Amino acid sequence: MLDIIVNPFITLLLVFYRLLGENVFLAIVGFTVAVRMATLPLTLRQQRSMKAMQEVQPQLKELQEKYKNDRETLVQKQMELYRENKINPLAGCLPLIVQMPILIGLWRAIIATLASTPGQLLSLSDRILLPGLDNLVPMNNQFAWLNLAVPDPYLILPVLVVITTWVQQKLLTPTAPKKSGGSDDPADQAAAMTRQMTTIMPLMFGFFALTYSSGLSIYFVVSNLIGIAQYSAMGRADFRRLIGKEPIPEEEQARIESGERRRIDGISDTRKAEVKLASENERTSQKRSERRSRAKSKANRVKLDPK
Amino acid sequence: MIARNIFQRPLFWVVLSLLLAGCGIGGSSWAGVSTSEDELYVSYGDFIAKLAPDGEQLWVFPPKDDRSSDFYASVTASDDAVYMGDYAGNVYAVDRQTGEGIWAYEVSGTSLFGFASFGGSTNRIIGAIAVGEDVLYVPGEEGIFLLDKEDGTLREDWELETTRGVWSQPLYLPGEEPRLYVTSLDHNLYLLNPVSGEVIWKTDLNGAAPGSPIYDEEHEAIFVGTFNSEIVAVNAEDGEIISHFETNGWVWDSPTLVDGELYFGDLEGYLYAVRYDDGQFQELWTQLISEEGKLRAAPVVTDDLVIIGGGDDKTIYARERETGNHEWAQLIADSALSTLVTVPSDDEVLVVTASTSGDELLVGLRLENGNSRWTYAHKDE
Repeated sequence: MLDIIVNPFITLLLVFYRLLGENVFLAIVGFTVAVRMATLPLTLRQQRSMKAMQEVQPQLKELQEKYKNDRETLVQKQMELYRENKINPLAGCLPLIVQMPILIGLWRAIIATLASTPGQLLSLSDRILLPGLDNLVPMNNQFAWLNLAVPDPYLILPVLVVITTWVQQKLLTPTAPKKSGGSDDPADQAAAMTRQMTTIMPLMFGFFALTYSSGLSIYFVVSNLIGIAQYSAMGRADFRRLIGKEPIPEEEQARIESGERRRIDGISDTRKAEVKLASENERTSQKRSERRSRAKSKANRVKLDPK
Repeated sequence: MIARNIFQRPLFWVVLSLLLAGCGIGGSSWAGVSTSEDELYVSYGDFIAKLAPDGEQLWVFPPKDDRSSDFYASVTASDDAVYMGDYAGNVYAVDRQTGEGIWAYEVSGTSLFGFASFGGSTNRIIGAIAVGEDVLYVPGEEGIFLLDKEDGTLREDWELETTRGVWSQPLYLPGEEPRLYVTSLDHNLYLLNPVSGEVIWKTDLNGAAPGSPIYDEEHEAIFVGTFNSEIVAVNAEDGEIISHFETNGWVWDSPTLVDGELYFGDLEGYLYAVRYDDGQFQELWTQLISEEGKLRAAPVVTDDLVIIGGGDDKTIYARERETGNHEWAQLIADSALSTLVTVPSDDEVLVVTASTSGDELLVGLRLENGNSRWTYAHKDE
């Protein structure tokens, strides 16, 4: 069933391979960038939705506390809160549901096109949808020290996959409130789970990198870097997390920012007044000097004309 | 929230990894079948076996506890030994009578937690080894390398580097001026001096050539099938392309040459009979055998029949050699992608091929009507 996605991806990857000088590394990079760009609206929508959900978390918590014994009212109030804040609780889920087959299709397309086994190469024969691409198969899988159809024997790519996945996870993971002692609060449990995922995901992808073709590892690394870049471009990446520091809470950040703005604005007003005053003083002194000079020249004329 | 929860569940990642692990973009490979005199050899998964013409297993190699890699390449028998390479790049010489190892050329790296190896070779061996004068020409992912036939020592002064793999058995022609023809997935047909390793010429075929080259002594020509959907005739002396015969789909294996006629199938399911004369191909007949079946392996040709395996439709087809008309068809246990061979058994000739089913890995079919005479399932002694 995934062939509907995989076969066009295989064809697209081969087109990139042809356009980029039959360099398989560049083809995978170009292909990954193209697919990530195509799914960017979905990614942004999902991230916006996650941010909006995060923002109403304190209110949701309050509602949970308030109506903990009345589930029906709780659901009703939650829906009202979503409506007031124009949040669709499914908006974060739908882009993911759309993206999952694309993601799996993309992985499968890379594995299939690199064709590391005779069986995979054989199956490519009826997967290429455009004529004239047959003579590109199999692609030249050599790049630098790598045969991209097999795992990296020097483990460099698996290590890069683990590092970039960890960095991306660390940056993307929403702020988790730290509490001392155990808690039954679902929000805290979710936060704990999120922290676990920051460890599990890099290891999981590292396992893939050790097991599957290194072409797939290149996809993982490029894809992670794009994710980090996207998040940074949105101004939401807090690199303090990478060195184990807690990110500055949003309210505090907002307070600091607004305080700084006021201070900066104040400095700016004073400066404006100073400039205004200075320019007025200058104008006055100029007028005074002109008056003095006119009086002096009048006196001279009187002196020179004694008759 | 729901989406985030899905991502936060370790179970999700386990399922995803299973989905990815199950990326069955085509299977790994099919069984390699070869014959020498009245001996049958099959290589599949992590073992090779020798069989009698009646399907009786004579020996299995390597012993069950020593299996570390898969065999994609067919076995080559010569004198008292059989030779084969594995997917990790190792080469083995095995006693033809007993199945005991004689020597091993090993390049495997270190295994990490049993699921990945590193530091080893990526020069996987998929094609059968060619035997020369006291040496073995081993086709690999990076070209051809040479081993001493007696002890498996690598001859470091001899190497053919290709940009893509050599998945077929090189063609060694002995004589006063021996020649070695090599086809590669890098689109080239090479002629080498088998003693010095010097490349005498190489010809761009404009498509990958996964099958072995076939030599036509009468016309001094080499025939090669390619992924550019054609059979190419190349001058065996100077490498000039003489003629092309267009097919409907990729041609994977070599054509079978009998009495100046070439028989071959393509991956679109067509079977062709072509005569080659005066530098020209002349079509005798073309038959669509199966729309689903990929005709991967070269056909077996007898006086009256052309027999070929249809990959996905799990069927062996016999066609009248003269006209291509239907003679018989026999369903086998699984994909019919393996090479077909004939072996004399008692007072009849059997067509033997392999499926990818463990329960009926090999099947011996009666030549006259396609009925199954025996099936073989691998068993460790």
